[in-house]
Amino acid sequence: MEFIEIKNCSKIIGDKVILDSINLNLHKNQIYGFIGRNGSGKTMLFKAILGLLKLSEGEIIIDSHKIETGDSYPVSVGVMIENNNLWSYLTAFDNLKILASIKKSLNDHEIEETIKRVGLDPKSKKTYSKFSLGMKQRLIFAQAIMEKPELLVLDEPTNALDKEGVELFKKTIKQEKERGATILISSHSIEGFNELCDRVFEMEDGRIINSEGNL
Amino acid sequence: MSDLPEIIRFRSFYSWESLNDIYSSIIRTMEFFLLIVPGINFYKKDFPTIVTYCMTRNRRRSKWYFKKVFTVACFSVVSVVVYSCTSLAVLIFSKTLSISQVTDLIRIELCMNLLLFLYLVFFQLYLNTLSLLIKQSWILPIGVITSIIIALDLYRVQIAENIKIVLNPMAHMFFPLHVECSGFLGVDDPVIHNFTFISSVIYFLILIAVLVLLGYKIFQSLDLGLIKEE
Repeated sequence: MEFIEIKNCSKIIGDKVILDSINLNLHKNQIYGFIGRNGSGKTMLFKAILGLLKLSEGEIIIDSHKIETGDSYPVSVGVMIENNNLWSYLTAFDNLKILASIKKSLNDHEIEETIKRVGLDPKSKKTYSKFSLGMKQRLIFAQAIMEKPELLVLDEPTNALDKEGVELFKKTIKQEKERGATILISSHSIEGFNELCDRVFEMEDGRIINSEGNL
Repeated sequence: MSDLPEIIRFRSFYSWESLNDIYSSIIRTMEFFLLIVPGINFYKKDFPTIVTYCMTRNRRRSKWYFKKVFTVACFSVVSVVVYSCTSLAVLIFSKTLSISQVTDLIRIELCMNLLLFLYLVFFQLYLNTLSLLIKQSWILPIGVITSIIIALDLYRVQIAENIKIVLNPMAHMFFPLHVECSGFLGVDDPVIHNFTFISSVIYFLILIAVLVLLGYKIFQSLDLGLIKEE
């Protein structure tokens, strides 16, 4: 049975078609890549999966749970999407602590371990506003994985990361897959994606135009 | 001789006679508007971050929304406490009062504080609900304009000879207090007989309930994924 079912999903804003009749069935515990140039619809598709976008047509079902356009989000999801703003006046630890307080599922030690996992110092007093772009990206990645979600939705996660950061990211993604997570990653480039993803979809003008992989 | 009637008169004067001309009406209205300025942006504060990283953890939009409404109410409590403590402290330090006199005074103060609290909650919810529909930068000017409209209408209500139905929220804050003070002083003011403390509380509760529901409807209909950081 599919973990994510995307049925005839369309989004039209004004006279512009953002998502054009997308049909996808995604299995559990796999890594899916979505590639395409800017404006191809990757981010919008991810937002639709997260329940942040009202669909003009179609429906999305995650783990037998219909994502309602108004009031329902995926049950267990880690998100890294477009906006890389956290609270600028807080440290890495304090930022994650605020987010962790929503579900109350993590203790301080677990938060510190997550920060270490992405190569940051949990004891650092540096505030988020003083982070480099790469450090911000790492912390955003940390908040996505910290609660061990069943689904990870990562939009352009390697943006601003240096080579070492990208390697650490890939290693962590593989660990997350071993843990049992289903992972969706988008990128504007296919470089380095084939080795990481079980299947890669290519998007253009809001449509899936090609797919590669072993599934 | 007790100072209390004098103080009650002062309170009554402060709430009623000081609104006798347009300028003082505007000043009093703006004074209360200043109390809510820090809270007019509650709904939209950190909105893009919250939408992405908090709301997907909350699972339901309604949970986030009602938390915000609760925060607005809490903020109004803080504003009222600060305002009331300041004005009461000025009164107590300027007059020598016994404990029993202070107790009587507190009854009037509690009346005013509850109505002020309801007024502040109403005004904050009104501006925060609007902020879901328009640009954040417009909220402050709209708040100022609304305050001026309320002040002008308050003056109109005051000089009107026959008051039947009044929807002005400031009137519902000040007039019942004046009724309370008049009753305490044994003064009968037939012009504002229609205003009772209970009817004004009910009026505010209805107003607030309508704003909460309206805000909820607007919030539910928002395409959150399309909201950009301003």
